[in-house]
Amino acid sequence: MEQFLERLVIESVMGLQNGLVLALVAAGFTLILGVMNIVNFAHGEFYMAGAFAGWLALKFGSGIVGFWGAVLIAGVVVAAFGFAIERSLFRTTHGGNPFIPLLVSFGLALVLQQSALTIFGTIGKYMAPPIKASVPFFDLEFPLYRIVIMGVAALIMLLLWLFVTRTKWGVWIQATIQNREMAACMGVPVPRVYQLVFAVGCGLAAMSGVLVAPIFSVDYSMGSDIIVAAFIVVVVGGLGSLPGTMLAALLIGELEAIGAIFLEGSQPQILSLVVLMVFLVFRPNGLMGERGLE
Amino acid sequence: MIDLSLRVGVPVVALIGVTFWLLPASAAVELLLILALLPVIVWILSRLPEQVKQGLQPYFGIRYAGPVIFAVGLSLPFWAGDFELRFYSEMLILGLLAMSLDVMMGYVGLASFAHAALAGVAAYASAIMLTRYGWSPWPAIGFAVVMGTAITTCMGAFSVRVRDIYFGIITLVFGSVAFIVANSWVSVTNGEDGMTIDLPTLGFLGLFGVETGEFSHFWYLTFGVVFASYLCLRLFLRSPVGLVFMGIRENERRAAYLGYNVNAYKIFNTAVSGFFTSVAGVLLLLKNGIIGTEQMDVIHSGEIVIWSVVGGLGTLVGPFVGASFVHFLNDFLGEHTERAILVIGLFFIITILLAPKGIVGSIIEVWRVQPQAGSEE
Repeated sequence: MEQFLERLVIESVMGLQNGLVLALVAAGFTLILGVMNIVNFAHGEFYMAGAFAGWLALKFGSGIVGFWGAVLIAGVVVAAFGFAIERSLFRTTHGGNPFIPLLVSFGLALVLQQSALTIFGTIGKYMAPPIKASVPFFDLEFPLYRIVIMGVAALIMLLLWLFVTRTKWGVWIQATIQNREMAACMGVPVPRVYQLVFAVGCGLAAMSGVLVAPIFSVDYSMGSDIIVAAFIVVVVGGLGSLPGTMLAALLIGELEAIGAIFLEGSQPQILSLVVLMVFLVFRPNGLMGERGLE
Repeated sequence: MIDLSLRVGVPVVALIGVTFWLLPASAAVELLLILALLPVIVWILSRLPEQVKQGLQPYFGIRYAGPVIFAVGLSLPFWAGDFELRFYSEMLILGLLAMSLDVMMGYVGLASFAHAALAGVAAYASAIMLTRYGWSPWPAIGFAVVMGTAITTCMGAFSVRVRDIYFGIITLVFGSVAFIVANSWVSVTNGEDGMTIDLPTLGFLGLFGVETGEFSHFWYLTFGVVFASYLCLRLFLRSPVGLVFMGIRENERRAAYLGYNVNAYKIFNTAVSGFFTSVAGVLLLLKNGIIGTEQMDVIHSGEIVIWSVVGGLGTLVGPFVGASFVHFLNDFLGEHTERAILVIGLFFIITILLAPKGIVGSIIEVWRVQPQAGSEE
């Protein structure tokens, strides 16, 4: 019994950490979805691209850039890449059939994933954690780095939330989520908001990719591993709502972590599907969805 | 203008770059020429004089083309070798899968990213019944089709509760969970090893038996099933129900105002699609004699979407053309590189951005005879 409780506590701390990282990925996804009406299937691949960008930055700039520098570089580089993608592929599809950007992003996900596979091969890349110390936790040594990640992820989420609620551009983002046409009529530069949101979303995904890189290894499939969980978080959390995304990400993170006590491998995802189905039946707008998904 | 040149330029430059990166120069040039031929053909067809278009048009309709295809299908085993028969059978099955996706995507506007997983469910269901419970072939196939249809319907019933673009998300979650279940429920599915079956002999009312291991027998079985499925779907989608589907696709809100229960129609549509997907899944199992979890992968489901879109959504024939064309590209690329899907993905992006109607859809569009001014027909 004692052992079980111990395991439970450890898994829930891990779940908290996974949930916070998931929240970062899902936040960008939900903003893109809410603002641009694009289901960005390639979002997981931006997360993967970020991890590779961070790995490359550390490899070729070791000594000059530290780990946290690599996080920033990856965020900026992938945000710029996302900006270019939005400008070239998605810009002309706005306002048309919503199917087209959906399929384009799906094709983009395939292309990015396969490019990473071709360039970097199947073997995962190792990235050393910047903090090697660990804290005693029951009779285990719990890596301090995981606790630091939680702090960093929570900080980034807080900054994002402040940006969306307290700045001019943030208010424009909210206005666009609520009513695109009306926002455009009131003088919100909607195309610029689109570009900003897409770049910020990709940057967030990239930074979370680097953050978790020392825990998992960096490989081409890491994007498709997280994207399903991010999808579930977005539907459960409610469209375009950052607090909802945060709550849902923590819920899903904890659920999969605690489920891992009883189940093995990727089976806890089945639990998430059950949660998703319950939400679809009883609360299709999600936890805090402002505009209906229906 | 800048928008257009970026939209056209970026993916095309990327495609050219990737082709030369992955393939030797001669093969890359050959491939790019083949791909460039598609818009050229469409352009030439659009420039044909109206009389020629009008004169040729009936020959592409089912009344003329149908019997020709039927005759070719019947006589194929007499002039094609075993390898070709197997190849064409596979093409037809993949086309059937793509066509069953077209029923959803092209006629109601629901994108499903789970079709490979759903076909896998049906294949697993029949394999489990055949090997673990020793059922005879027909009940096992029946069970598999019922099972696959039921799961697809269930997926549809949950997914229609949200707007259409979220439908894709939810099907993707369903598909990946089905993949996880097949991988981890080892005691039933053998996990990653997959399941092997002894190819059964299917008796038809005691009149004749089809040995599925025999190439020519299997060809007739596939051809018959696929041809019949096409005719059924063609009739079905032109029936009043099919017209309601298209009405929902064009304007969902108006269909609801007119009193149609939109969600019920969507669920019914997923059930129909699920039925034909399951049939294709069982056929795939009978062809390969083995079903593995990799066939249920999300990438594979995505490939089915690519086939339908490249061929042309909402045309029924298009998915066959798309499946064959992408399959051909895959074979061509496979001789030089392991990353065929990278080139195909780029080709897919270009198709969506430049010709969202796909190969067959674009041809139909330019081929349609312009109504004469003043005539009401």
